[in-house]
Amino acid sequence: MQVQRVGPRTLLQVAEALEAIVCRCVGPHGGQVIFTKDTGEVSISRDGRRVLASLVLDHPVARALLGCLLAHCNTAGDGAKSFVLLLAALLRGTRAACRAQGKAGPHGRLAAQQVSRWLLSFQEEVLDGVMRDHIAPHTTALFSHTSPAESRARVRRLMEGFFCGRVNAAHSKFLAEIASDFCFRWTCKPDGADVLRLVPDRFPELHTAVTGLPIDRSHILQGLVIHRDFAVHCPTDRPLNALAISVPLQTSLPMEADGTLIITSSLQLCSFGSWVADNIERTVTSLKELQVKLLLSSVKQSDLVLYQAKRAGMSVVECVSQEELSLFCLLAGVSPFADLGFWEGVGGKHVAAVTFCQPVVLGAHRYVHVGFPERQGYLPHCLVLCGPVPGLTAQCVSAFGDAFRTLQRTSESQGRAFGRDAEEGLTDNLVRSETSARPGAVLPVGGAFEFLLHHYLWKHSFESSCPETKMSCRLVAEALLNVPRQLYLRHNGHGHFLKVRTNFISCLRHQEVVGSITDGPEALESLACKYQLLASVLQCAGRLLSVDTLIYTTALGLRDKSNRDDEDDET
Amino acid sequence: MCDSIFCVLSRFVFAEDEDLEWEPPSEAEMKVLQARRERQDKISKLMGDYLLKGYKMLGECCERCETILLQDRQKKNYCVACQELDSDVDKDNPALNAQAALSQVRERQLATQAPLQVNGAPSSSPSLSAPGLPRPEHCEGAASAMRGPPLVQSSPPTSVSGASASHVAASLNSSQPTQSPSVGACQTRHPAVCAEEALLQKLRWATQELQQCTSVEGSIQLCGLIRSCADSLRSLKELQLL
Repeated sequence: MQVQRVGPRTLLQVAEALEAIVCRCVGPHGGQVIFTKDTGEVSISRDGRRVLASLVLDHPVARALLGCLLAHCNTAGDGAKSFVLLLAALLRGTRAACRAQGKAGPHGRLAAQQVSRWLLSFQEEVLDGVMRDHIAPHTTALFSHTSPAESRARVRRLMEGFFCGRVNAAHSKFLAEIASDFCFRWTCKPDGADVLRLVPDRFPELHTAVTGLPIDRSHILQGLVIHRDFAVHCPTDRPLNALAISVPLQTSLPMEADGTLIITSSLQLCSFGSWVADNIERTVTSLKELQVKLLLSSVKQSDLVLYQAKRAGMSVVECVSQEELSLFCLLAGVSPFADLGFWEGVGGKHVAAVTFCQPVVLGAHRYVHVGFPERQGYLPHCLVLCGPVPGLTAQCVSAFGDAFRTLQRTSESQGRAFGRDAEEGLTDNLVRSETSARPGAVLPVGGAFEFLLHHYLWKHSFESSCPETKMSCRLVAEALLNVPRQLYLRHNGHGHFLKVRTNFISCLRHQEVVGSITDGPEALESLACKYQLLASVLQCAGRLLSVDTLIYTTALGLRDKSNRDDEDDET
Repeated sequence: MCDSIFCVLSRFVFAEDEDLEWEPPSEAEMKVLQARRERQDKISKLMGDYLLKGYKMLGECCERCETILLQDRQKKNYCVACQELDSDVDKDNPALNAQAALSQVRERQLATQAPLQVNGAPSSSPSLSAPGLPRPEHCEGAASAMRGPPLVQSSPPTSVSGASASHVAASLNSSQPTQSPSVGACQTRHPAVCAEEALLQKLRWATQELQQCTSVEGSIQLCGLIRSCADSLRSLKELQLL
């Protein structure tokens, strides 16, 4: 069994290799990265998560780091590149601190373990207090209850700040406009919390990706697009009733599971066929009486059913995915009918009212487009996202999904937020964070959060008498500056970063309002997301630094061991 | 830069109250830190490049330099520090690189000719002031021609293919350039002929080195040298035909 010692040097090598990759595409002036996947396919993207997830990493530390990063991105929706930059800077500072103490070899590992303990407790002991007392007063609220127009403008600026780091600069403003417009079309309320929870959760069903068109052909459609074509289409312009079913209309004889139907003559077969056809006709007639004109089925219906539906002037869409069917029912406020054979039970709670139902051609496919009336103050809409090639379309789709997740994270109320897909081991507890930011708190982009926190952490380190607190504050404070440093490095070199930082500190000292700190547009970023990012990085760094030894095992070895354990239990 | 700041900060923080004897790092220490940082940055950049090309990051480290190993699609392990960075250092080793040797000779000759220059008129031209010698920009083999023993004049190759290079290599003596310049031998003959012999000798040497070379970077440089020699030979041929 191979055993390998792990120290800060190894951790730093891995982190710096990943840092060298994300530096190419960080910030509004970053470029696209061309990468080769494991399958040999070449892709192009600016999405940090996608690029890093496509790397072939066999090193256990690299895989653990990537696991932490993906867990964070699944919760927060953004911050893959900043995660790597922060983590690399933190590990660099840790290694320099361990070396400067002259503690190499086993003592170096002791120092790393010490730093690990500091980082794991830093959030509770220092960060929460600094955020609450010093950073929060510098933020503004995303949603204004007095001026809906102001809320829309701020949401658009927040989306601009998000998209300028994820897509081409030429499209970021356009996509930000669409994203903010999409949220506000759903509801008239400025902070529709339900919508902001629904949209990111159901985003795969709420968008259609179209390849082969330019990005600026993306648009918003009222209603919902069901990604299937009509099996039977009977056009109608009026508002109509729809029924969602998850069982076939054509029913057989009710019998036991191991029963057998024996037909001994052609006469019997004809009788059976007639009985089945009569059943279907009765069922369709009963649906027609309920004025059902659209049937959405998650299963395939027989030809006989389609024939009867056409005769009755009823449109049928079959093989609809379960997720789309459940979303349709959620938006219409009904439940799907699943009682096989008992069609008399179809009632008001199953029949949905839709405003229109028509085919729509998106790209090379024809889909079904249904509209909903306004219900409980919400009017559902969906997105059509276009891209010239599959890679850029996927990038656009991923950016939108993460944008809505970021918006949700920004506006959710104070409290614990648990990640849904948190992995075990090193990623355990990673995504739990008690945010000290008030809901909807935002800051200008360009490093405002990093400069502010750097300033106040240094201040806290001078005020504190505990040497561990001093060291950890300075370690984190210096690591924070790596993010804006890399941002401005692409813009105009090191000189620009120092100039921006000096101006900012000067404004802070004169207690001026922290406005835009770059020369560009006044985009915003979420304080909650930044806090979540820093907390995730601290946890990840703390866990990685606490690793002392890697023990390589094989799956075969583990399987043999588990077999031996089973045999021991039996005896 | 961050390394040095932390060296400063951590010494300050971890120092005991009584132990206030701390000195800032000297210029030499700063240079060492800077060089270490630059080397690490280069290693990280190279590793990032290869990872994006589809190389796998292994869980093993190189035995020599403890850099994390990469593996290409042909399952061949690769250490970026040993096989790329260190071969860059070999570029400056005159025993292994003709360009480095030429630079050394040029520096030596400039140093010996400096007292002969007119005051206030620094020699800005990188060319050698000795008459009859080819400029370094024209052919790399000039240095070895000056250093090597007088060569038997052989017929110049009519083509620059690899076959002719190996034919030339087989017909000439050992290719390692010696350190004793014999400038006088070249001056008695036509400069173009001298240059041609030097080029052929350099071509033979480069071919032998290419056969033994195991690094990608070194091979690329040697191929570049062979191409340059071939181009120079063609130019000399045209010159002789005029």
